[in-house]
Amino acid sequence: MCSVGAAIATVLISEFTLSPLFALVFGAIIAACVHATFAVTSTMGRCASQKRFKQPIYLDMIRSHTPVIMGYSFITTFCILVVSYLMTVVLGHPFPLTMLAFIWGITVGAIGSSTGDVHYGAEREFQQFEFGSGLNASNSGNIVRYAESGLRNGYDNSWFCAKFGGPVTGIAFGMTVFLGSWITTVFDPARGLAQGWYSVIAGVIIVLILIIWNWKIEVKARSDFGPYKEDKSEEASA
Amino acid sequence: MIDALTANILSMVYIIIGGVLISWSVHFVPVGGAPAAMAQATGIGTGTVQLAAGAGLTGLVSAGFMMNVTDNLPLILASGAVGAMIMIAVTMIVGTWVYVYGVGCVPSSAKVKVDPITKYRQDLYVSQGTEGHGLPTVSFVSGVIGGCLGGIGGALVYYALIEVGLAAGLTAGGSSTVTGHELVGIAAMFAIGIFFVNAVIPSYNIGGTIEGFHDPKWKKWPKAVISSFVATILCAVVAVIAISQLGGI
Amino acid sequence: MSAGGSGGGAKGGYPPQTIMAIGAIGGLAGIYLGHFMPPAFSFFGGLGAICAIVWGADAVRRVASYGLGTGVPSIGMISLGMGIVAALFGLSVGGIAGPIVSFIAAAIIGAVIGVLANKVIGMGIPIMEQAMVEIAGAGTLAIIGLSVVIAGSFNYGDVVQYVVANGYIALIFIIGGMGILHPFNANLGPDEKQDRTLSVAVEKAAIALIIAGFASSLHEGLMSAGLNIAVGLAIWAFGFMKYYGFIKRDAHAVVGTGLLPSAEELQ
Repeated sequence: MCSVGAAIATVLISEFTLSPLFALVFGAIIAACVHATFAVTSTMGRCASQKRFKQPIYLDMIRSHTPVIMGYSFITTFCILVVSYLMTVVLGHPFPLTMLAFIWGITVGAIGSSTGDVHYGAEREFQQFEFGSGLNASNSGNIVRYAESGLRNGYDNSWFCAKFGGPVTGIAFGMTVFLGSWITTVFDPARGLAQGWYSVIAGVIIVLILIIWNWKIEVKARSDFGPYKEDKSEEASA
Repeated sequence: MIDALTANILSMVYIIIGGVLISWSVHFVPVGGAPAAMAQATGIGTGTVQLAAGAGLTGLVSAGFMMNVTDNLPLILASGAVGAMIMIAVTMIVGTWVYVYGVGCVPSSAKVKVDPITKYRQDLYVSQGTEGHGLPTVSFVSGVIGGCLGGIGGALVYYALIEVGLAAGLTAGGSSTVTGHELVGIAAMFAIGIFFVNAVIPSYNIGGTIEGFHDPKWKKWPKAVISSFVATILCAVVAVIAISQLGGI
Repeated sequence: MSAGGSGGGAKGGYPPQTIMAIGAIGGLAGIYLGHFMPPAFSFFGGLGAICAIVWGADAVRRVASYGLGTGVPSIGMISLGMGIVAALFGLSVGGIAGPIVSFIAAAIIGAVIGVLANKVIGMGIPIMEQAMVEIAGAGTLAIIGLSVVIAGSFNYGDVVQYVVANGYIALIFIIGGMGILHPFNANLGPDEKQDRTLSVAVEKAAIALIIAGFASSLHEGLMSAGLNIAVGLAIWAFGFMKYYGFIKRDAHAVVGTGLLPSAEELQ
C-alpha cells in the first residue's frame, strides 16, 4: 500500500511538478481508498465463507470501521512516504522512492503483525484470567459475547491493540529506522573505510545491548510470574 | 548470452551463495505464525516469509546505502548484516515487551527442557496446553544470527548484480531525485525477487513455525538449502543475462 | 497462519482448464494488443493482466486449499518473485517474442521449484508442480501486462526506463501479488466458492489497472492515462457489484445491525 502511495506521489512530483508535501498527502489518500476495498472484501468474504457457523454480516460494522481503517492507513502511508522521501532526497539513498516505500511497507507489516497484534488472541476473548498467570489453552474459545454495555465481538478486541500494541509498533518501527540510519549518519562511511567499520561496530553493540535487555526481562518475568507447573522430577527425588 | 554468463561467473557464484545464505537464515529466525500471535507458541507472531523479507530487505536498504559510497565488499556485507540484525532485534525486544508486560507470560520454549544458553529450566514455565510463548534468550540469539545471515545474503546478491551491470558498461551513481536510477532499480528488484523465492522455499520446509537453532526442525535445513541452491542457479542465470543485456540499449 | 484449509482439493465452478486458457491466451493477447496499438490503447495490457491475475488466483485457490503450512500470502509472494525474474529475462532476450519467452522461462522455474518442494522438501501436495507452473506463469503475465500499461510497449529499453528505473516495478510487484493472493485469503473458510473468489480477483486486478494507469500519465500523457483509469474504474465497479451479489447469495445473512443468533437458532 505504501508503494501505491509512493508511486502516485512520484507521478505527481514528476509530472505535475506539485509540491512534495501535497503529492505525498494525495498519494496517501489514494492508498487509503485502496486499503479500504481490501478491508471490505476480506471482512465480507471471510464471513460469507463461514456460512455454516451462521454469523451474519453486520453492515453497520463495515460502515463504521472502514473510515477508521482508512484513517489509520492514511497516517501509516503518509509517515512511511515522508521517511522514504527524506531518505531519497536528503540522505541520498540510491533506491527510487517507490521501492524504498515498498521495502519499508513490508518491514512495518512484519513489525506490526509480530508486535502490535500479538495481544489480539490473548485479550478479552479469554475470560477472567489473572495477570501473569500464563495462557491456559483451555481458556481458548471461551469467547466473550457481551461487553460492559452492549455486544462485544472480535472487532472490539482491537481495543488493546490500539492502546498498547499500536504505540509499541510505532516505537519498534521508529527504532529500526532510527538506529539503522543513525549509525551511518554518525560514522559516515563516505569519509573513509575506518568510519564505515565503526558504524558496523556500533550496530553490533546496539544488538548486544538488546540481547542483554531481553535476557533481563526474561529473568524478571520468571521471578515475578513464577513457574506454572510443579517440578515433578524434584518431587520424585525428594 | 553465453559469453555474458562466462564473463560473470564470479558474480553468479556470489548470487548463488547469497541465495543459499538467505535460505539458511530463515531456519534461524524464530517465527511462530498465528499461534505465536495468540501467545500460544514460542517465537515472533507473524509469517516466516513476511519477517524474513522484512529483515532482509531492511538489510538491503543499508547495503544499498553503503554501496552508494564505497565498493568494499566486506563493508557492504557487514552493513547489510547489521541493518537486518537491528531490525530483527528491535522487533523481538518489542515483542518481548508485549508478551511480558501486556499478555503477562514468561518467555519459554516447549521444545527443549533447558535453554542451551542461559541453562534455565523451560518446561516449568510453559502454560498448560500451549507450545511455549515469548522469546527466551536462545530464540533471541538465534533470531539475531538469522538476521545477520539473511542480511549478508541479500547484500551479496545485490552487490553481485550491481557488479554485473558495471561490467556491462552501466553506471551506478546515486541520484537525489524521486525517480531513481536504471541499474540500481533493476538490481534491487532482482534482489527482492530472488529473496522472496529463497524465503518461501525454507518456510515450506519448516512448515511455517520454528523456534531457533535448538528446535528439532532446524536439523532439516539441508533439504531447503539444496532446493534453494538449484532454484537460485536458475534465477542467477536469468538475472545475469537480463542485466548484461542492459548494456546494449 | 496455518488456517489454510484442511486438506483435499478445492471443488466447484469452472474447471481449471477453462481458467487456464482464459489466463494464458487472454493474457498474451492483451499484452500484444497493448504493445502494437497506439499508446492510448495500452489498457489492453491491463485487460491481459486481469486475465492473468484471475488465473493466478484460481491456481492459488487450488493449491492453497491443501494447506501450505505458511499461509496463503507466501505463495503469492513466490509467484511474483519468480514472475519478476522471468519477466525481465524474457523481455531482455526475446525481442518481439518477449512475453512468450518470459512465460516459458517462468514455467521452467516454477516447475523446478514445484518438483523441489515435493521431492526434496516433501510437501506431498499432488498438484504442487502444476500449480507452481501456473502461478509463476500468471505472475509473469501480470507483471508484463501492467508494465505495458505504464510503458506503452514491452521493449526492454522502454520497460527498464519507464517502469524499473523509477521503481514502479515495486508497485506492480505488490499490487499484482495482492491481486493473486488476496482473493483466496479474503474468502478463506469452509464455505468458500470459486465464483466469489474469482470476482474478488477481477476487482483487485481492476484496482491494479487503475493505479498502473495513473502511473502511466508520466510517460503516455493525460489522455491515455485517463482512458486507463476509466476502463479500470468500470471493471472495478462491475467486479465489486458482482462480488456483493455473491456475498448476499452466500452469506448467512446480511443485516444492518442486530444481535448474534441465539442458541436455538444455531441448532
